[in-house]
Formats: sequence, C-alpha cells, structure tokens
Amino acid sequence: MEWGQQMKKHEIVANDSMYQNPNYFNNREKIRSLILYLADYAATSNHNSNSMFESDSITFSVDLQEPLIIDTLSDIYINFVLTFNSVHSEISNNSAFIFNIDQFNINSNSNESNIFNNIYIPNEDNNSVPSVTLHKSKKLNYICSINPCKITKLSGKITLLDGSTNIFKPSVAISNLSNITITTGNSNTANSAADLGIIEFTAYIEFLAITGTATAQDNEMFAWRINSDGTLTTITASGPSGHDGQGTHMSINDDHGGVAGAGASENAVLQFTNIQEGQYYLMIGPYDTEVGVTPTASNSIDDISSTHLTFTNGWTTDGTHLLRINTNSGTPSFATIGTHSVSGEKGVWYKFIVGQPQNLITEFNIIERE
Amino acid sequence: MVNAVNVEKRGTIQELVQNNIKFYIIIFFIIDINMEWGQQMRKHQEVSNDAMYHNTRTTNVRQTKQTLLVDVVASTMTDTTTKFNIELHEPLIIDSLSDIYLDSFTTFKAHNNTTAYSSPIPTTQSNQPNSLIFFLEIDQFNIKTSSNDALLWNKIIIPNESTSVTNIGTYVHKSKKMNYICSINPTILKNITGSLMNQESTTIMNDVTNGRFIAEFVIISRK
Repeated sequence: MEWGQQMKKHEIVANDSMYQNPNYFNNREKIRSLILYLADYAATSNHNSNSMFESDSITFSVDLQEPLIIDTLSDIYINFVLTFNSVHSEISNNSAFIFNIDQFNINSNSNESNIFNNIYIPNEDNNSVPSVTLHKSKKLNYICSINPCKITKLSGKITLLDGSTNIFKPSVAISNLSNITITTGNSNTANSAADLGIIEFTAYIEFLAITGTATAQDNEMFAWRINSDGTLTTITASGPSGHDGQGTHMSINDDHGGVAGAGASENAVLQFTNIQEGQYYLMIGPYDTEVGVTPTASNSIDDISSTHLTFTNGWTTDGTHLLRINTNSGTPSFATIGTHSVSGEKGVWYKFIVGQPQNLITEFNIIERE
Repeated sequence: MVNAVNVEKRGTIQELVQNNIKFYIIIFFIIDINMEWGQQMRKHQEVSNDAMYHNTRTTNVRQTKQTLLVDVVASTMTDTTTKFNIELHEPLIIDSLSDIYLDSFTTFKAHNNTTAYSSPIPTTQSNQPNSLIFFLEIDQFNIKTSSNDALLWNKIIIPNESTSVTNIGTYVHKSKKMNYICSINPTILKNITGSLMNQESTTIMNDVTNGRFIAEFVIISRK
C-alpha cells in the first residue's frame, strides 16, 4: 500500500469507528431484504391501510412489521420494481420515475433538480392499457449506503420526471371528453373500439344515444364490462326500470333521437348508479341488433363482437350519432362524443375504463459491507 | 578500546531497538490498517458464533455449491393447492454456514399476473390483481425479510411474469436481480415443506391437477 492508500484506509477506519453500532451484531445474515408493498388509497380495501399510498397516489408513509436493524455499514441495492397501471412511457415526462425514500440517504447527482438526490427508475411500461410491468433496466441497482440504524417505517414519494405527477394512468375528467369525434369505420368491432381512456366517474354514469338532430332513429345500445383477463363480468346496475339491464350485458332498444345538451330527453338511456371499476365496452347499433347467443362469463368481448351479435340492419342513412356521457344524476354534467355513421355500416364501438387499481411493489437488498 | 566496544554495543542495541520499533510499527499497521477496533471485536464474535454452529461431522471442502430442485405438481399439494411436502431422494447435507439463492422459478398453468381478486373489496374494484407476486415459504429456510405488509413479511416474493390470457403455458419468473433468499446453518435436510400462495392467500394454480412449479436453489458455502 502506498502512502495515499494508507491515509485513505486510516480515514475509512476512523469513520467506521465513529458510526460503530453499540448494540448486538447479527453475524449470520449478511444480506437483508426489505419489501415495500403499496396499493391505491381506499376507505375499505383488500389491502390494509398500512399498504396504501396517501390519497395523492404520490406519497406514502408505512410502518414495517418489525423494526429493521442495520448493524453495520451496508450498501442498498434495488432488487426489482413492479407496477400495475403505471403510465405509458410514450411521452418524455413519463420516461422514468423519480423515487425517494426518506430513510435512505440517496446521494445521486444530476443536472436536473428533480432527479438530484433521488432514485431514477426507467419506465418500461409500453402498454396503453393497464398492465403489470417489471421495471428492471437498471444494471448495477445501487441505491446508497446506510450507516448502522434501526428503521421502523418507510416514507417517501414516487413521481414522474416533473416531480409532481403520480406514476399511474390518469383519469380523464368528463369535461375533457367533449371534443372527441370518432368516425365510423374505425370502430366497427370491439377490438377496434374507440378508446375513451380512463374516465372519472364517482357516483353516476348515464349513456344517452342521440342523433343530434330532430330526426329520431330506432337503434340499439349495449354495454359490457370485462375482467382484467378479457372475460365478461357482471354489471350490477341500478338505474330506473327499463334502463338498468343487468347480467353479462346491458341493452336498451329504443329510439335514439333528440338533440345534444342538458335538454335531451330520449329513451335510449343506460344508467349505472352503482359504479363498478373496470374496462367497459359500449356499442350503438342499428335497429334489431341482437345478442343472439346468451354469453357466459367465459366469453370474451371479442367473442361477443365476432360471434354473438347479429345485425339485421345496417345504418339506413349517413348521419351523426352521438353518445352523451353524463356523470351527475341531478344537474347533468356531460360530454357528447360525435360519431359519424355511414349508410350500411353496423355498430359503433367505444371502450373506456372506470377507475383502476394502483400497485407498486419493490424489494431492496441491504448488503453488509466487508 | 573500552569506549570503542561500548560504542559498538550501543550501536547494536540501538539497531536492535530500531528494528523492534519497525517490527511493532509493521504489526501495528497490519492490524490497524486492516481492521479497526470494532471490526476486530465483531470478527471475534463471528468466530465464536461460527464455532458454536460447527458441523460435528465430516466436511466436504471440495464442493462449495449445491443445487436443490423442488419440483411440485399441483395435484400433490394440500390445503386447497397451497401447501407442499416433498421428500428428497437423498438427504441434503449442508456442512457449513451457507447462503441460499433462488436460481430459477418456473410455473406451468399458473394464474396470470392480472388475475383479479375473487372477492374484491371494495366490490366495485373488480380488476384489483391478486397474482402480481407469488409468496413462497419454505419451512426449512429461516427467511428474514422486512416489509410493511404482513403477507410479505418473512417470505420469498417472486414477481409473476405470466401474461397468458388463458392461464396456460410455462413461464420462468426471473425478474429479481439479486436472488438472495437467506443463510442456513449446517444441517441435514430430508424433506422440504412449505407453501406457495398469491396475494389473496389462495392457490397460484389455474389448473389444480396438472399445474406445476419448479424452484431451483443454489446453496453456497460461505468462505
């Protein structure tokens, strides 16, 4: 060892002495695992409140099941990060997550103030629909070193690159749907349904099919809800009689007519007053469209689209069909989505998501330094 | 003459003392550089602990790594396909303090990672996944993990990488980077018992007859 190395060694030894653990040592376990499990905030849930984000879906503060005792200078590595329903990485602000844990002394440097002294996790979610993603692109996985201490809780936050937005797929406020216009022909089957995204519904959903003109048309409207694996699940609706179809699908066979706006008063209305989270499909079809074979829970929405639906008629004329989505049972708060139908075509499909679970699971390995 | 002898003696003594001082400085540096006081004390404690758990039998010094393969078919599992008990073909002798790593974890016909809770709470949240991760417990391993969630505490957690819509097929779940499980004291293992569950504490198997999982552990003797 040359002089410089010796001096450095002395300094390390002196520092190690300063942070000496006055308690017992566990000489048998050189590596510890620390698992952080977080789910979305809810008053009642499958998860207990100690496994939940705060209501902002950014910050968290949870107690460990038992104190984690780190009895010697150790290095912390991230083992994996798993998310459910994280944002699609298609835009630059979504390309990575910034993760901070208050109990870890993270000393990362950067030109970007949001990333400075935080953990940077490249976002590998390339799905536009909610899905499980493992973010494992880091190579060395080093987080920080930690002096001997006792950790009883973990608190911190995780955001997108802007440092203020949560990492989960956002809900779209109903007011932001009003400008969407969909041309028929792009959405004739379930798998080409016009995607309305995740819509913010809190208490009430109403779908009203209207032509937007004074001329009414006798058409049909159907709604389905599917599980995360693509199979149908039951809708337990509780709207007014005749508009609250239940079971594996909802349907209404009545005139579509009237004009857009709060004054629209047509019969082709489906209402959900019991909000159920999930992926919904909605179809507006021509007169006498039927679900020919009663679907079962093992059927997928593609089965419905390709096999179960029978169309007697196509659209009789070119025209506009509008879907009005209302989220308030009192004073209507609605968005109207334009659909241009072409004579002879059959059905217009929409899909949207109501609410989504949010999950973040990560594991750290704390490795004692030799 | 006397003076010359004295000077010579003095020179020899001086040399001796100087050499001794050099020797002590070297010793001091060896101890001081490599270990500060706390580390030395800790080393002593470690050595005494190692002595306590010493294997009283013969030690295989040539083989420092051993592989343990746990192959379980769902139909042999109990407690609604969550628990298993297998007998090893021959006893697995661990003759010194060792670390256990999970080398691979393979499932056949397990639920995919977006499978929803059978009884969602709140009831509206029908798509809350219950199989994001698998929890593996092996009674013979002293697994010590910390967590905020009681279900994950002191268990091996394995992120589920199965995306099969129909819940069939073979998936290798290899997203963990470190794969460390626990350390183990010298022992002889004849049976491996434990459980494998999802977040809902139910079976991970979609097919409770033909489903299968294979966990491969590597047991590495600590130097």
